[in-house]
Amino acid sequence: MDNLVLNHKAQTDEDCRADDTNKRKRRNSSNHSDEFTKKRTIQSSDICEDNENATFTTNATEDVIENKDQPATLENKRTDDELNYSFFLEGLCDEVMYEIFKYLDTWFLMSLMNVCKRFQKFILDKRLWENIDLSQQPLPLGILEDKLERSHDKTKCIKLRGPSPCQHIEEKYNILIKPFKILLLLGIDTILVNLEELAIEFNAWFDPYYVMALSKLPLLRYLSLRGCWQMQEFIPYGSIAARHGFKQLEILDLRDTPLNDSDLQCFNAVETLKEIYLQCPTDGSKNDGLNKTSNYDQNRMNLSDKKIPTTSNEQGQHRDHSPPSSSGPSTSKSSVEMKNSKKITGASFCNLWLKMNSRLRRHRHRHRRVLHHLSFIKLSSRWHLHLPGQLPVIEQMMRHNLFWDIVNPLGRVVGSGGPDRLFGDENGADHHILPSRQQPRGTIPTAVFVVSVVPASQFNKVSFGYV
Amino acid sequence: MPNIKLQSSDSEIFDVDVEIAKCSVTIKTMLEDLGMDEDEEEVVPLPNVNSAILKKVIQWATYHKDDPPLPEDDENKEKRTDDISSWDADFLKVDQGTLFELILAANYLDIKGLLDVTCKTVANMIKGKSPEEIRKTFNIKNDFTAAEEEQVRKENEWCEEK
Repeated sequence: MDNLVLNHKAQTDEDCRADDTNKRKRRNSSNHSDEFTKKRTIQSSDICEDNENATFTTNATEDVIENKDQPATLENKRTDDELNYSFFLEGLCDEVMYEIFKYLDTWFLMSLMNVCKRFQKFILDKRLWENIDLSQQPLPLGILEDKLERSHDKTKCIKLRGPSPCQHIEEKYNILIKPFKILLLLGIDTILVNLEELAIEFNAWFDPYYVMALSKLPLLRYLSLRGCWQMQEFIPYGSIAARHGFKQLEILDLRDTPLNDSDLQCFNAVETLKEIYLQCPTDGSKNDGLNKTSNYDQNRMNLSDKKIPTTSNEQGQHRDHSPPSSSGPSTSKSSVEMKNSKKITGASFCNLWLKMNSRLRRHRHRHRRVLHHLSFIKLSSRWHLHLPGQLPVIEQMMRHNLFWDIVNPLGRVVGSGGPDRLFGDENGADHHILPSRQQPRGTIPTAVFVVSVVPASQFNKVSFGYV
Repeated sequence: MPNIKLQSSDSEIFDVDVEIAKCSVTIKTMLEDLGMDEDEEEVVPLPNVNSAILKKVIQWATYHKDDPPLPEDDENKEKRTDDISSWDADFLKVDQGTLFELILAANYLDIKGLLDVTCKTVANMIKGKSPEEIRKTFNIKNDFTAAEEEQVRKENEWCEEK
């Protein structure tokens, strides 16, 4: 019997991947025989206490029949024979395992590494670290460096969140984050040469200074610095970075950062930029009256850019339905996403951001796919279509003096005509000022979609898309 | 339509339409390389696939014979696992053993569509599970020593607290 088992083992040692199926059978057979012998020898009385091992013997048809009478507990089988690969997922060859694991995102891979040594080893496979997305949850300190070390020159996408400073006392935070900062600064542009998407979100360690390092990434197409609290005094770094770097940058997510509009103007220098996302930072400590009105609000505005938008209405609508945070939206439109409130009173829109509280991020998450209202406003002809209900408040808002500052915070609107110049006067007469007659360098939209995702009673959240 | 004879590991012979058999790149290449004549009564042995699995594979290939060819593997393509057609989902309502046999058969026969859909099914079984649940689901032995496990657990505990 021992010889037989040895033979089987010898066979299993042959590295013949295509032969997996048969091999497994042989192994099953050998295990069972092995079990059988041992059990017969020791005359154990509790052999049959566990019949649960049916699943992994279902396919080894003949063997199952032969050995049906001697069921062994899983534990016994495992400890008795370290060559036991009868558990199918574990027993798959690397190529097939990769075919399965490639569908899992980084988070699940991390979890799989805890399962067994085989997985732990296998998951270090470089191919599984081309898209690193750990943005679902803030990372604790100490993990970040480790995970980032797995990135390599083929890595295309890295998405990180945190660590947030509140998880740690500040001193510790600064000490622990240091290696990562160095890692990030020293040659990220020479190591991660194929990086196309980078998200470093919701943390307190990202200083504006690092933007310069990031700007050197040659293929960077998508950059999210959402929720980076330290992004103050951005202009000196931002302007250099934007002027000399970011050659491929198309999408920039700066939501929840304390950047103001002059900071933003740095990015005028980035020729390839198509979309910017902006939103008032979260500030849990503020609890003034603005909170109530701005809980749900989120304005999304697509600005026409150097490229004259050519998308049709339907595409525009479709675009607006997609959540703004989805990575890699690729339209030729430029968009600016920002927060708005009915109670716009401050002179500067960015002051408003700082005042407002968007603590209900989760609400947005919950609501963003629900479309309650869709309005189409064609500015040039005053032809308004509201679906499914009328939303006069939109028009009111658009008449607000600050509205056009909001729509075009980069100051590309020519002239300072108030909303009346766009909409005609109070009598409803159309003035047709925009944009056909005074074509202001193609920067003002001809029409606006207004998409509200909350009931009209709570109307605050609108999205604007140009046609 | 010319047919071809496929022989499973347990010597059962399946008479299959050549066009259907050719969805397996392995068989297709074999036929091209050997230049088999259509009227020849040659039997193609498939020593790595048993009859039960081969039957399933042929069933799958027959249903999908008119599918457009899959696009080349695009690295940038989003790896989705929720796009399994309902027919495939029903087809793959089998026990784990059969599922893995199908994966291996699809890999051996080089049938990309079948490999994709079976792997996605397994990936879906893994998703959202804790390591312990994964071990249970797939009968995997925890082969970490206590110390190692503690170490691994420490490193990765944050990813379990979903």
